[in-house]
Amino acid sequence: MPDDETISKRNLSAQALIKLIDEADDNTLLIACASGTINGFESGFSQDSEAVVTIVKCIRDNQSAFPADLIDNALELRALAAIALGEIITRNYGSANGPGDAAILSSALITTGSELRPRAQERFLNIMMDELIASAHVATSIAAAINRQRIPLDFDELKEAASDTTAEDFLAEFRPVLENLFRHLEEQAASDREELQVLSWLYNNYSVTLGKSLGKLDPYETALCAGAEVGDLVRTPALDGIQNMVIEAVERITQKKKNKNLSLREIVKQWTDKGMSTLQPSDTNIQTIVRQFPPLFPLTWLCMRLLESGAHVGWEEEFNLKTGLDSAENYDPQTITKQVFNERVAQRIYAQAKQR
Amino acid sequence: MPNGACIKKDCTVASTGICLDLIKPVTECPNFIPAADVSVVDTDIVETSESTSPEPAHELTPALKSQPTIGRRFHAGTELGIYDAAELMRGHYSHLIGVLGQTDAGKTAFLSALYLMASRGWLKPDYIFAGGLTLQGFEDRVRRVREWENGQLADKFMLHTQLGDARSPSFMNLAIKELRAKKRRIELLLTDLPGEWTSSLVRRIETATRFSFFKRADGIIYAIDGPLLAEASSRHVEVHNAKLLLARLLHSPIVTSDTPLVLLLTKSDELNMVAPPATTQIVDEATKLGFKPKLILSSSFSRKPAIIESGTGVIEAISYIINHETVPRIRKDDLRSIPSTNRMFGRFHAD
Repeated sequence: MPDDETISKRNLSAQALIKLIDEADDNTLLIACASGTINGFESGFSQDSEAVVTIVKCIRDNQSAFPADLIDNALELRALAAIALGEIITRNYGSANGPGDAAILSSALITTGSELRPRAQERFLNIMMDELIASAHVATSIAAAINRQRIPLDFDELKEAASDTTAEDFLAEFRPVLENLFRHLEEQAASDREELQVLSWLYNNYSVTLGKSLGKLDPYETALCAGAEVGDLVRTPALDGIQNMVIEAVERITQKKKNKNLSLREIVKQWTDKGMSTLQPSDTNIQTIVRQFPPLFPLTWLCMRLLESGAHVGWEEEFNLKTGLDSAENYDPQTITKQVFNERVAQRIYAQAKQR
Repeated sequence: MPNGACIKKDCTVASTGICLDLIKPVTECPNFIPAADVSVVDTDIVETSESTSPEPAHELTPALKSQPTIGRRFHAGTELGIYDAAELMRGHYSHLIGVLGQTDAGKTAFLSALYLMASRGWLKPDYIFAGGLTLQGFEDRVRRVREWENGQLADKFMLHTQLGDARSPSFMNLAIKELRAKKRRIELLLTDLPGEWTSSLVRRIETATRFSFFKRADGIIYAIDGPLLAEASSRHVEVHNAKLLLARLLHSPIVTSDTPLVLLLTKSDELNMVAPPATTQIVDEATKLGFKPKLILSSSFSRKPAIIESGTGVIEAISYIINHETVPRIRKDDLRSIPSTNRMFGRFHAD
């Protein structure tokens, strides 16, 4: 067991890393930490990678004898990145506004990075990932619930602002109250719209992108389109309930075809270019992040790769290497639906965070 | 051991970890240079004066900074101490397996058999040897196995385990590579503790503190002497000690009940690979304590190799631990912090 001094120094290093993430101009360091946590720093990173250099520095500032070589420190970097992410994800659980942007993005990335990944056979890595995945789920659920709370409009506030005031002061006092009320109305309308649009989509069972009934598509094409199209309709972060509805819908549609689970190698044979375009982001910033961190967006990366190369062959080795997944692993349509849905939502969360 | 060197001429901190000026921690010493910052330092360093900033005899040139650094230590190859093991674990996940058992239970024989099987390629078809930092230590242990008397193994062919530092555990390191599935490189750190440690733990609970490193254990192999368990005159003592040890492991606490536990019945070639009835009592006790024990009959060095192969049960014990699947723990208190929503979508749950 590490001694107390090592633990307190490592705490300081984690706090330093969190501070750097919070103060960064963009989310690249946060995303790199998520990727390193999910897939380790041995793959996709080099000793000179910005994230590796930053994390090593955070540790070295408190423990000068820490080795710099990735061969000697990769697991420790992974542990520190996981600690930092865990802190970010859980820090505002109980606050009135719920988890912040960084927590929501981290949670989304932990979810997309871990869903298709088989459980590690390293006991303590499993424990670490289990804690992180559970925390990410809770943070997402809290944020999704708070976002959609139906809050009754406070007309008394309007009356108070309008009464006992001079003509000059009226607008100054009335305007913020009005803005607040409109904001509430827009939030409620967005949540109402979400429910209507998702319900319509599910009732219709029709792929807007492909212009076909879902029942007429191959099962994994159904999974791809359903996950991506509904992922585009929902508010972010998404409610568990919506995700479950889409998964159940795909299960209902595809079970008639009595499929057995297929490997990714076989799954992509059912994907058309048009279907894959539903998951491919049009935003070049998102494309860059996907290319940089494939473990966090494995199916998006795969769709981009297949669309760019124009061929469904010869991608397996590159996929395995870059994502840390196994193209020979079997998945059912529901799992693919869930992953596509989560990746689409995560893409949008990233884009919104970047805009803000 | 701190990774670095000292500018002071006679300071041996690089090898002993103790500062000549007795400054603790040594990294606070103004003369201490961390390994990564050390370039080749000319050994003709001037004698330090009373000043706190000693000057090296020669200025370091940029070209020298790419040279191998002093203060880098090479493992002796016999055993790894706890700090050496920690350094190894820092870079790559290492499966720490605690091997426990009374004196002469067969712990060292188990480790030796593992080493010999690895060296002969007998871990196939599942694994092959992939390296290790304590090969010399393994060799020292198996030396007597190679000394036969009249075509027979000696009655006692394993040296009694003694630790370099009686208070600190030592580890044997072996790396194996999966030939199937994910083709992982698996780093093994196996304890080789004297039987007295186990006996002390059974007799005196205050010795549990020296097992604190077991909290990091990926699994425990508890070696139980099979013939002693079968013998009428000794089985009650063996069962009693085993029950006490298992309780100590859990209640001290040294491990949690979800730690993979292998009950390794050693020297089973002498029992014709049939577990004696008393084994059930130990398995039941472990189960009652909350463990999910795996009973494996082993024969590290078989007296009847024509019938029972040497190394039987060895890789099975290791494989059980490294392939053990943990069950995710759901923290209900976190789920309670999710606010209930008055929107219908929020209340939709799949079965």
